Amino acid sequence: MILRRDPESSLIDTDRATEFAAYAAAFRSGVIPVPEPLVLERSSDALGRPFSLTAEIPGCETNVQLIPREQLRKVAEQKWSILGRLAALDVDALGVRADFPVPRPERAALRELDYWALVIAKDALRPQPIAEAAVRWLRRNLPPAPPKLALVHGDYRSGNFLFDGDGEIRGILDWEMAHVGDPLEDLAWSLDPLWAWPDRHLAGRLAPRADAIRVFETASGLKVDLDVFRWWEVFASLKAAAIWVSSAEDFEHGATKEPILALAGWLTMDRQNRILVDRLSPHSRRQYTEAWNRT
Amino acid sequence: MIPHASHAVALLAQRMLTALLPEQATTFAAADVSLLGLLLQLVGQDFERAAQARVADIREMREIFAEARRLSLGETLRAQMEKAIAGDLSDLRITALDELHAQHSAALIALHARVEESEEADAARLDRLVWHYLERHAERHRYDVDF
Repeated sequence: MILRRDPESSLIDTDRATEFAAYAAAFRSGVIPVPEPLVLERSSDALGRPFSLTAEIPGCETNVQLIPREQLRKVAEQKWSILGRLAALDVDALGVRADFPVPRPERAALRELDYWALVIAKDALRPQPIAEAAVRWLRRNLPPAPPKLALVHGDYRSGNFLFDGDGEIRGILDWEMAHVGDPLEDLAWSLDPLWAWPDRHLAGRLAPRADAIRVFETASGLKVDLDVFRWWEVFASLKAAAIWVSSAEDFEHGATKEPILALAGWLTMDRQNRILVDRLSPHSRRQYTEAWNRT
Repeated sequence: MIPHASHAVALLAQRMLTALLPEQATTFAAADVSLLGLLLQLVGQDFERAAQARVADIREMREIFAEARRLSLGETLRAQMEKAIAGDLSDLRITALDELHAQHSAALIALHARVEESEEADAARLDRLVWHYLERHAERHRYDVDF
């Protein structure tokens, strides 16, 4: 079994109950591989902080750099097929209304933008002209309502799934930021150039992003409108920037001084700023982004 | 005094990653040492350029503010920019430069937002100037590490 306790400080504001509810919904669906959720303890009485227990999936790795080259395509196919299946699931059939607020479809994008813009406004240790320009661009260009809502993982990227020696994905992890929203949000997050560093031509260090989008479309039955998708790509980079801003604040003022918090607010913020400028500048050379160049 | 501090810090980072990292008894300790070595590399890169990058940013923002005087900006924003321009750029301690940099960046954010909404002829040109600055700013502060 795997025990997870709410941390004192982390990259994101975690909530063990949110994660547990998402694991439970995904497990019930039968089409999303996740560790079986076993126990949720909401009180801090037993272990000082809330915790959860899930079944262990033994013999697996999370570091995609360990995947042999000949297995990359296989893992990539599964990664974005699973995401497509998650996008295709009906929110009501999943039974998540009791655990997650369900926004009106036309409010899904704005709700997420408001949340992460507020994180930047509250936590930035210094003014952030690039992130603020991104927030304003997102507000001016809000996307239309999605054709359907879905359970959104919230952190769907390489490093957050378990795979075995045969290149089989055995479990999707880290559902702390799960919510109900536009399924394009997860797809855009999974394709952010930060997760491809340093090889920006392989999304998530696995496959060309155009291939990833095609796999997602096939599995989800959704057609990705690249103009709409651009909004979610900019949003993904902005949300990541907000997390790095918040991490830096947590490092400076928080209870723990985890080096990962300093790194997130330092190195990854540098990279995210370059990605955002690349996405939005009128004279961008598009060094880091390519999704809308799909042929 | 070691004259090339940036290089010295890089050597210390290298020692941490090559000599101390393999000696760690647990995965968590090894991960921490690895990250600390990486952070030390960043410090080494920053040591060399910290003042120069901040001064260059501030000077470029002042040039943008000077260009923006042609626009109808309103008194509050104009005063914010003039206050930033009047700031003392002779104190090269990083804390002092950071404070001045933050003052300029806050004014730049307000100016950029105003320019985006303006229909004045010069607004589009100023918007491009701001984006040029943001590109150079992002490049000036980039870290080059293998991670």
